[in-house]
Amino acid sequence: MEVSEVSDVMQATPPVPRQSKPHSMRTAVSTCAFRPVACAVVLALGGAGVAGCTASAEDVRAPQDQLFFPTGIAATSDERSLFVVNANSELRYDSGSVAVVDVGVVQNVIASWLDHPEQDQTGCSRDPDHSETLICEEAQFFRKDAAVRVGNFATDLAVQDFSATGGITRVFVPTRGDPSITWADFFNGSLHCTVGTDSYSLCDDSHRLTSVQNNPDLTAVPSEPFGVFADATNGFAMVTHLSTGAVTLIRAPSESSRVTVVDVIGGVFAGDPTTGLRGASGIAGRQPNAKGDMVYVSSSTERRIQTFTVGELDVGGGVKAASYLLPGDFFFLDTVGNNSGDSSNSRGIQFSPSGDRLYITNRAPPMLQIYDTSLSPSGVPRNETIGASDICREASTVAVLDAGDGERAYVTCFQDGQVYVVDPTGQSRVEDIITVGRGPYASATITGKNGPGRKLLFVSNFLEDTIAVIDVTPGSARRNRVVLRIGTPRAP
Amino acid sequence: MKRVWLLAALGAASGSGCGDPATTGGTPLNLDRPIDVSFACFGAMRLTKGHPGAGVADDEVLDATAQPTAACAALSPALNADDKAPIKGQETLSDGRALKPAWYAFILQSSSGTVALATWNAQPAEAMVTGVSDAGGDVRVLDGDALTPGKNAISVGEDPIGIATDKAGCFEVTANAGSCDLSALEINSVLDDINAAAGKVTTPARVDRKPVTNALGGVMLARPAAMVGEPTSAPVGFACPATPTGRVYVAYPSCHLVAGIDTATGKIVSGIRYDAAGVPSILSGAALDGVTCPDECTNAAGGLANGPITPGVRPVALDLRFDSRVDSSKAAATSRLAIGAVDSVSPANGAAAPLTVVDLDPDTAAPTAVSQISLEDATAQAGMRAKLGVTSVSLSPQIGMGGNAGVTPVDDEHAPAGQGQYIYAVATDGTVRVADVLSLRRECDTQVDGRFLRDITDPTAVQCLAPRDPARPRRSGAKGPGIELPFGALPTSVAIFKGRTAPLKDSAGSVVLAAPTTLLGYFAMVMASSGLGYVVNIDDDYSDDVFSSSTDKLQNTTPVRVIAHQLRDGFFSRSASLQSTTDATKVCGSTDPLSSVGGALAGGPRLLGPPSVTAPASSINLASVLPLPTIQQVACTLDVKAESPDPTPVSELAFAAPPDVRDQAYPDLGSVFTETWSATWEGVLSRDSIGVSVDGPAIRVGQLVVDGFGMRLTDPSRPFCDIGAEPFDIVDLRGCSPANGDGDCPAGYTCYVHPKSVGVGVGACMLKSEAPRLADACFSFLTTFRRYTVGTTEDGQLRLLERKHVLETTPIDGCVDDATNQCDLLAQDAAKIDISADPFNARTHWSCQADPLRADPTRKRCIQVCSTDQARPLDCAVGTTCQLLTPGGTEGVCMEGVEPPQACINGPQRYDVRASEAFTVIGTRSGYVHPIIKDPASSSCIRDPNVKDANSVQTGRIPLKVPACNPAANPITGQLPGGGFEPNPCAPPAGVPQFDFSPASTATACAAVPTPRSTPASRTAQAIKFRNRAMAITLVDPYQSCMPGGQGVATNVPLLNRGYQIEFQQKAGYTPVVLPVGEVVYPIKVVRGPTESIWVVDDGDLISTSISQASTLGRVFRVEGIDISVFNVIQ
Repeated sequence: MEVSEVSDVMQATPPVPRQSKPHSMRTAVSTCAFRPVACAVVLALGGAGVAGCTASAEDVRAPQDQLFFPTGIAATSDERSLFVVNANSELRYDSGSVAVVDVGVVQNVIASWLDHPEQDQTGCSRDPDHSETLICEEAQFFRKDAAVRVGNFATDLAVQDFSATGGITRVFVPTRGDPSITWADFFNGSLHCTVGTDSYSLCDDSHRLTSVQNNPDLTAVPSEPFGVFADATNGFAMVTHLSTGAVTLIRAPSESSRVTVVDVIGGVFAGDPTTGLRGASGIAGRQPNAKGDMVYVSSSTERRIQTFTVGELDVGGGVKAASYLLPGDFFFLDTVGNNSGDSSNSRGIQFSPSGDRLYITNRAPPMLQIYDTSLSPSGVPRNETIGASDICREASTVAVLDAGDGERAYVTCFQDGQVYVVDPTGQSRVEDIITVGRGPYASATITGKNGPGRKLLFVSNFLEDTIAVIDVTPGSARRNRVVLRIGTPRAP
Repeated sequence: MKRVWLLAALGAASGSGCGDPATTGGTPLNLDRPIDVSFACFGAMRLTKGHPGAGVADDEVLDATAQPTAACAALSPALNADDKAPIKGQETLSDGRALKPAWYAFILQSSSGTVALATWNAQPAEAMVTGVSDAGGDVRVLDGDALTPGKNAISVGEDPIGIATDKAGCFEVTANAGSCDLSALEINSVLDDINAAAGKVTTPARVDRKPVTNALGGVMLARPAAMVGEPTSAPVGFACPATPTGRVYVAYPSCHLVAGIDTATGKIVSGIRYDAAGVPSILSGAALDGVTCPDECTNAAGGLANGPITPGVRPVALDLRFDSRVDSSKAAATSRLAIGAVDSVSPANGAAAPLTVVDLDPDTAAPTAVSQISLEDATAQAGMRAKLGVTSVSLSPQIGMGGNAGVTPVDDEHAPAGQGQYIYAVATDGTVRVADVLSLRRECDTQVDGRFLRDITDPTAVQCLAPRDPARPRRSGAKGPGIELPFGALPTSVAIFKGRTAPLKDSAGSVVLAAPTTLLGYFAMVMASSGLGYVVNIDDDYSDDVFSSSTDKLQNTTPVRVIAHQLRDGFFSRSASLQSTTDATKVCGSTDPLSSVGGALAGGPRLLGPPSVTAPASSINLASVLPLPTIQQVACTLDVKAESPDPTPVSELAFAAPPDVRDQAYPDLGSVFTETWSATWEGVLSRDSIGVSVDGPAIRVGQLVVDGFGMRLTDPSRPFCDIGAEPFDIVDLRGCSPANGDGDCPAGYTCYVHPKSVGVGVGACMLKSEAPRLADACFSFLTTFRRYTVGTTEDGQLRLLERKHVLETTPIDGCVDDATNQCDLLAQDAAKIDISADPFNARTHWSCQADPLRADPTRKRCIQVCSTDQARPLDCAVGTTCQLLTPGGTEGVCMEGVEPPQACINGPQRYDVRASEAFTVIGTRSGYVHPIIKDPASSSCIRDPNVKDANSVQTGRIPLKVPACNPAANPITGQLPGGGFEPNPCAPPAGVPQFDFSPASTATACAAVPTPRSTPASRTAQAIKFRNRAMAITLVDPYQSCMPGGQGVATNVPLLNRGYQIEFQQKAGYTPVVLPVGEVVYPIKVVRGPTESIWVVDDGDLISTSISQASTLGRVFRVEGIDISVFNVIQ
């Protein structure tokens, strides 16, 4: 990278105050450096509140059994637990959180509901507008003591699963409020991100990555961390940054004490011609947990997909660890749309499990693009367009699942409150449009591989504090319908 | 509460980035994601009830009724208004009132489950003008609900996927994937009360939902994927029936069935079903009566029944063609159904069977025969599910092929190239496959290398070229036999249509030159994912039928322009040349034909200007060296303005070169792009920059490993086979630029420049804490050029070898020995002409030695040697280091890169890979073309065994030492009379004539620096002939027989510095015609409409960023088949 780009990163990232615990106001102030308009309102309201009375710490403590602006969502590899990030975007509480949903409870409630819809379900009621949907209070699905608290404005969540080698599971959460990247280990059924044993604790500084090598004298984590991807076999996580076009590399071996930011490349993408902001947005590994995996990064400001691999160095004892990013090939989204094949403003990207197909959500024009990423005779991914489908405006993320009758892509439509189901067969086509609630943002799939349960899609509804659970089981009469809504929708 | 919501909204925008801003622009217009369109005729009609002849006074007249489209078609002929005449019985009434039914389009909108309406007058295509609906165009959007503001569409069903007009023209039938049934929209209920002035429907439309059933009454709840209907062939003059008539064919992928459904009852009355082996058969008897499918929509009980969905052939695309033409070549009207499928079962290795043709009874549309057409699929294995599928099909009528408007009649009966009927199929390999379904009944290869079609004189032979014909090899780099769209765009849909039926003529009755957008004959319109539409020539009756070697036709009849199934070329008068121009202003520097024959958009491929030669910065003393390598020049004697010397040297690729010379240089227009080519001595194998992505970034980043196995460059992205790296190539480690501070290095690293590094100019990324400590240990590494020879190549790893410093003017045949001091003499001469060369002095010495680390090690090279012997010290050049031959010795060799300790190279390594001792030929669009692939059995990079013979053009290197050309070889193809091909590249044994200012090379010329001539003349020059996909060029003076002005001791000396580059901008490449309708976002379907119009259905959202442009949720374009530059936008 050019030095000026690195300088941009440094200039755009003010020194981060080092405090043992983030406080809501500190977070708000920190955020204001980047969101002056939003924060003017927040501060004004906050100021008014302070003038009237002061809420106690307990009053503003983030609840353990509620959803509050859920964003990132992901399941453990055994599909028994589901992590949900609460972004606390209203700043009602002192922090966000990562909650843990018991998937078994969800499966049981759904099975009971679908098998005996006439029976009352405790804490649940039939959706008056959608008879196939059961609405349940969220508390019964959470493992309260399993959660941890994180910074505000968390955007995404990635799971790093070392269970194949007998290790723990770890989650990474980018939080835009600090900005930082928080990580927590998941073992014994709970998340842990502090030295002590307190439950529902706020992640401590050692679990909050704010600068390279956790050294404030080195490069700070750029502002607006956005998307995150984690790989256990290769021992790293990567984070994109929405306003600087930067990509951050985190060394993340199974040994938790070694988790640290090791590299930041700024200005990977060209800037928006109007705002000048450079946006790195979606991120996905072609074959996660395969040796030497190639990671693809999309941009909200440039019509380009950039690939990265990770350089490893011997860190002692013959052990190699992720050490720096190696930018690789790139390609332009120039085959779909707008009379010249000009697609831009990419958001979520996702690969099929084989790594042979890449799904890219674009906003201009609103399309789901599908790329052939299988290996060519020369041994590199082809990166050729094989299909596209017109989708909703303002799409956010995409999840991919083969529930048994072929792969499907599930695109969340933030603005329309829908999930588009795209069948990639042939040149792809929109197979279904599911109304899921207000502000669907991220989604996670459950294949039911560990039990007789249904194949499910969980969608976090950011604007109504719920999670929509969609039955995607082939042959189900309620396929592609929301069968359960976790949480009562918050009034707009 | 509102404040809370505001915060939430802000949170949405700022907190998660879910709704960032973005665009301005107007309001979306009337349409909402259209996916299909059908057509109907509506207006006044005499109820003749079938009586023959003209209408009579007693005929009741319905003022407003739906009627067969034939009534409107008669009033809207393709060409001139003189042909406009009402159908028999529908003449003007006795009171002088003309019956003026109009056309209506029913535009299906899937996501809303509605049908939008548009209308236009029944008029000849020639009368249509370009415009926008409701803003001056011919087409007007109607409002389907007068009681609701705006222009509304009519609800018809859930997730409809196709729409068709019934046989009587009275109903629109949709197949609904959301409810697995049909809907029938009664046209009269929609239009009979339409307020013509306001364009609004004022009473509710009638929509009948029809469950699909088998003969036994069982309800079919499978999801349809495609639907076609019978043509509206009922006679005009009857009142509309109460129910739809005729049948539609509906594809049910999950049921492996295409069902013929009676639109009146919804009952399945015919069917074509694929068995488990993928073989289609016509259902009959009990199999038809009891046909069932797995439920995909819930049944009345709220469940799913009829078993799970099973694997099998999935029909997803349909087209039906009723061909009424009856003449001497066709005894009866025919009707055929084409089916495109995915997941077909391969009938043989290398073949898929995704196409099925069903013969239908022309009257009843009942299937009478079924057959499959195989398509080439290299991955297919017999009996297994094929990867290749088809997602859109279009079936042509029987076409009389061939003919030329200037020579012969162009109707279907006069067919000098025989009769043909073709399926065009959009395939999942990103191409459009073509098959003849009339007589040959096989796939046609559309990618045959044009160089091998020039000998065909029978036009019949080029209408459907056989795939895998050894005599007609496929174009190098082609994906397969299908039509490929430019720039990697995917075809999305295809429709075959007819253009003009008569050529444009001048007042004297002579055929006039038509624009490429003016179409005469039969064509296909292929819409692309990029939003562009491409025209394919099926039977272009403006053009010749075969290649002509006549000088005035060479490029005009180049195969891609005259044979069937090729993207239509967008250029005029390809054969225009300076020689054929009569204009008095022509000069030898011309780059374009005159505007009278098309100007810049005419003529064959050529150069935009003379090739430019770039020597590395001030490295070659041009005054001392003539001539340097360049592209062959010929004499131009046509300069009437005397602006240039007469004759003038021009490149063999220039417009002013004789047509036959340029034709040999560009033997296959179909492979020529408009792009810039460069041939760079020891150039980088990739040239992508931040704005271009063709063949990978020129500078990459990897890691170095040094261990007991040597030194290796690894790159986890595994690019090395893909970029075409070969053994003995050069790897340059680019280090980091100190000008960028530490910006080239990872966090925690610094760009360290050794204080004693001179002339290298780059640093190395090293840990900040370690750099000073390693300065000594890494001295040699840090102070050399860090240039290495590639030992072995694997996809993710190159073995690097230390590289000796070799004199660039080492003779291409190798030096002889040190006895004559040959190398030192050469170095001495080199210093005179190469001002950047290593200085030659008493402390330098070049020795003639074998170098096993270079290709062809038997050729000795002049290698710089060094010595630490104080009695006779010898230094190395800047950027190299002296490596002693033996530990403790004093004699050594100068190295351009050495193997460092691992500690020196722990940082990421920026590198490039270059060809060694060769020109690298790269096009800005073609990239670096090479034959290297990864060995499927290992990770090694190997030469693709399939790249040989005709495909030897898949190369991008020009070494100086090449085999001799064979004078007997075909100059176009390189084919030898006895079989095989001459080498590529190769050296003409007797040299080539070169027309320039350089003096002829003679023995005496070696003694002194040659003096350029004042007037150009022809001389014989050393040359290398090089062919790639796009061109065949001759590189002249690649080396000199002696060092000009030197000491006459060497032969065949290259006067090349690394980076020496010849570059030329090639223009007028193959430029397919693009549908000029403006901004199409995502054309999901193209439909053949009335009067052979083409309807492009664009379901993509146009996100406007301009206040003057409205955002849309899709649009529909009507394009005139006779002239695609005329179109209407419906929005």
